[in-house]
Amino acid sequence: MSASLGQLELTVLLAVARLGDDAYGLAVRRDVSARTGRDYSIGAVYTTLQRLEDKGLLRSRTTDPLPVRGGRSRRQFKLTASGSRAMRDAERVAASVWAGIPSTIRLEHA
Amino acid sequence: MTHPPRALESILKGLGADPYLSDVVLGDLAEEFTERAAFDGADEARRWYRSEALRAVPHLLRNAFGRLRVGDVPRLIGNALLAWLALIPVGLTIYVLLSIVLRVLGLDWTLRAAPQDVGFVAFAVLSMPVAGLAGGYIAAWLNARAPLIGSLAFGVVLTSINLIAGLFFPSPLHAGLRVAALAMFNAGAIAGGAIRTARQAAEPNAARI
Repeated sequence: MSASLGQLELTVLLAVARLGDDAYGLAVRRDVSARTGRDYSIGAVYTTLQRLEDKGLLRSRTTDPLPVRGGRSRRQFKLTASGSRAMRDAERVAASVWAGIPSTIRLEHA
Repeated sequence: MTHPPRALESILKGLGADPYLSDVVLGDLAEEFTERAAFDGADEARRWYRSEALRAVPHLLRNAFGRLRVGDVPRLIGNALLAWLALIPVGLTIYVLLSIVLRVLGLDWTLRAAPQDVGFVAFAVLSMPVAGLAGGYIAAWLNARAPLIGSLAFGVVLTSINLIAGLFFPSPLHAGLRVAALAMFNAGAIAGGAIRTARQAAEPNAARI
């Protein structure tokens, strides 16, 4: 059984999986904000990323310093095996929760 | 090349969050600032930066408080009390100078701690933000690794002392004015801490926060 995830935690975890090698704070924030329609602060995203790392669902490494960041490094995130398992669990739970809901009140997917 | 506002960067650093966290947050802010400055202009980018920096404060503060250990508390309280003691000669000097100036001008002025004395009320209320500003600056200076935490601690410690003292020696100020004075004192302390933080970052041999 994987650790339970909050909605923002799951959204951030999915963003990291989607972004692959480009998953760092700013890119994750843009992805999450674009998909949810909410403007999350950088602090909120890093707090969530840190929590996911503490839970063992992500791991991170710092890049070389970049001039565009005022000589600071990026912190890039990657999904761990536990993170992938947590995503699958969340999808299974969501599918189970939505099962049996009439199609008339569900979103139509293209 | 346009740079993000350095004073704000210093203040965010001065909150005392894990340097690893504040570094990546500042890096992200700087990166997006550069992009926005190129597309929307420097003024718009600076406006965005101010708003984002403000939104990052609660997260960085939460991290900073989470890093505090039990052993840090006596040090913070000690620094706050030291800053308070440092205010006494400053306050006395101001009082003596004010008295001399008023006497030279031929005005008879005596400080009476009475709620009906408009002069006293004005002096008490106006001196609070000034005392907060000076004390917050000194407390931040004493707490160089996390200056803003030092000035916040100064505000909290002195407000607590004031409230506890009020239980035994009722304040000559009315309750509303007292609350306003304490709020201004704390606002002054934060401003003092922010000024010290910005100055610390500007010093050539500044200690890395």
